[in-house]
Amino acid sequence: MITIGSLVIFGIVLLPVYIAVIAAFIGKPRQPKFAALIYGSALALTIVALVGIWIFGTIVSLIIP
Amino acid sequence: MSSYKVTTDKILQPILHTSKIFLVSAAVLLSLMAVGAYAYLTQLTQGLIVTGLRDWGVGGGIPWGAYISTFVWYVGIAHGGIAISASIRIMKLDEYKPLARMAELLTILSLAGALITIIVDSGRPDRVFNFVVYYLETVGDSPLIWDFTVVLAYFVLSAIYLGMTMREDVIKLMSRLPSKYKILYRTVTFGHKEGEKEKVEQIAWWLALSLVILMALLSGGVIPWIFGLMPSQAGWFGAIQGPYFLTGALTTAVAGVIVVASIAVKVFHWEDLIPEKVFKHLSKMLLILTVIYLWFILHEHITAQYAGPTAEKAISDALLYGSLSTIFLPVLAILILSVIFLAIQTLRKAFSMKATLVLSIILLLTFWVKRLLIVMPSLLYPRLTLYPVGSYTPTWVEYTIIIATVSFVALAYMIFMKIFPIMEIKEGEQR
Amino acid sequence: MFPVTRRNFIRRVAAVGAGLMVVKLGSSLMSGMRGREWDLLLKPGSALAATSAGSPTPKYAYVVDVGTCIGCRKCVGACKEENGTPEGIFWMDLLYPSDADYKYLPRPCMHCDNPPCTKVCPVNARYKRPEGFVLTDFKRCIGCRYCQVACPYGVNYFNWKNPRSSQAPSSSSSSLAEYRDNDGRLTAGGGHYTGVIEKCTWCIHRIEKGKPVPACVEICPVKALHFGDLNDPNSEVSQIISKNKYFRLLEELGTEPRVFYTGGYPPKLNRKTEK
Repeated sequence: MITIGSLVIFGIVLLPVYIAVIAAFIGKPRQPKFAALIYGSALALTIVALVGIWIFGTIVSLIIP
Repeated sequence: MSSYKVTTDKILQPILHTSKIFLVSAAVLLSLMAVGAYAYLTQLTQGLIVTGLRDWGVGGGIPWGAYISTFVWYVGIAHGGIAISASIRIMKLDEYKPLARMAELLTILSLAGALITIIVDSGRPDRVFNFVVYYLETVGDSPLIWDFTVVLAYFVLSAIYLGMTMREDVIKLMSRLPSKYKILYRTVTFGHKEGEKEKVEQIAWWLALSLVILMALLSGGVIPWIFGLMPSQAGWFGAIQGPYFLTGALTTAVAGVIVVASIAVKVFHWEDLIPEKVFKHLSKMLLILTVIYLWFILHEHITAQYAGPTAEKAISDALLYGSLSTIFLPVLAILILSVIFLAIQTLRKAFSMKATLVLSIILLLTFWVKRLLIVMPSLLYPRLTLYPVGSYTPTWVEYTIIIATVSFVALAYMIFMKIFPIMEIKEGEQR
Repeated sequence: MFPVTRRNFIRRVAAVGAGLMVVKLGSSLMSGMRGREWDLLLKPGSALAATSAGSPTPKYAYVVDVGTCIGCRKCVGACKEENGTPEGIFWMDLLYPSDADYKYLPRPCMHCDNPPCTKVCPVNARYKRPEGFVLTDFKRCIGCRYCQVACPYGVNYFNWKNPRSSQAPSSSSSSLAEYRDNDGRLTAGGGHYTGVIEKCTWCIHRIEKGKPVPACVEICPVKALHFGDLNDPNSEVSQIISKNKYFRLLEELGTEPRVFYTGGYPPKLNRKTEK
């Protein structure tokens, strides 16, 4: 949905992130494999964090009445 | 050659030697965390009734209090890392290089503290993953989801930044690092090739630049928007929240860096690796930021007092001379006295590391109270005056859990220092 | 395009794939909006699209006559009994304005047309139905209480403790059971759980089953409360609003509440600070 929020977040606030990622891949020295390693681990860390939240939620659901 | 060995010895000291101070501190921090865990268990089983929070309006309380303030406080402190790193890389202020990794570590752990605190505040933490499940439905409109997005991005990118800039040092010191942590060192240096350093610098420069902008749009954007976009609460709504929060964040960030760096220097005798003039410059930054923060407090109250709408004025009145003045006026006094102290210290060129450390700790605590003074008053004094003025006192549960999160951040910090070198060895060589 | 080498074949496939993904993402973004009020702008025959009488979807509203209200609080009690609300939680409440030309102000949820609560909910547990109801999915709610601070009217209540022990005995069999509305979403029309927000539902469980009005409106002994369909020009609410002066609370905040107050002037909201 195109709202003020999604425009500001994905169009303005996260813009520096896109630029950093692109700069890593096309900037000199050209080492796209290394850039992929770095930002690939960023993606992996994000997934680990989200899975961690899920695991935490599941554990809590056993405790909460 | 020998000075290189001496400085690398010094940097390796926390890793190679475990002192009594470490063991005693770890024991204390672990006990505080245990008490906090017990408090959280109480909260899970009995519900949030064990806190001092209550419904606003007819309920006479406030639903957001100590936990939300702590969350905002942590995100503020988290900006220290990128502020220092950006100063080094983008503005080429090389004198801060020895502080870089310490500051970045503070960022990552403060953000972890923020994430923990916000989950603690939730009434149904077992459903927190719903943030992810319904993300596409809510990202367009909910400031909390914007918050979640940007804080997660900031956390991940800061962690990657720290890990990437650490590779070279771990490779150089590999022969002297303890073999029991080998798997951790291998993970950080995964895929390491000779000559990758140039690329690391290039990626780090752009990443530092993007994190600086992200920081301003997080602490001066998404976080204050949680409050500033709400017309429902007088005192919250308004454009000033953006720059107001950002200034507060940067002040606590610099104070946080001063605290961790001066403690590390004291404990490991790193005076020659991180010279006093670095701390002098940090305290000047602290002075300027505190002055700017006082200026924003001036804005807030002159706007409400001059000809402000009654709902806004009621809140300003409560802070300046009403029921909340017993909290607000001491906070204001501490901020003003800090400015005077830091100004005298700068003008008379008489710098005291100890006094600056103590002042930074006091400022961190004062800003925690100030964050609470943003969340509380608007909810205590509802715009709909058909409701009574509320009241709020945090309970032992809230205090112990918050202290436990701080203990967790401190302990994680100490453990990191036990495994990885906290300073770049190349810079450590230089005096 | 030509010749069809391996490289530009892969490029074309990638372009088509990317295009398909964009379309899929776009449509899932749109379908993910189900239940939120913007969906109303897309669905034909929805309440916001229907501006003329005789539209198939009713546009419910609530009218309170503060000139007639005697402050007996029977509406408050009826709501508690109907919905089995826990201790200290009053979905329907009666307020006592200190600066107005009347003494009693009944206050249900406003069920706003531009609700701040639905906007801020991070999991879309708070949603608006086409007929106007603003409801809470109590199985999805994570208890962040953002809707509570975003609402200027103070109609949200949080279950700080386990509600089971303190629930009012209910005459309605639906109070302890889950209730799914006609779209299949859970509402807090029944079922109360720890750590979840709840509020007035305009008794959707009654309205959808054919009863004409919520419990509070039904019990009022002086007929100060009214509920009905604004799309029906002959309904009580339409008649009262077209013939009388009315106000809505905190209108300047742009929430577009659907509770109309007649029989008096808006209460003055100045607060004096005690020194």
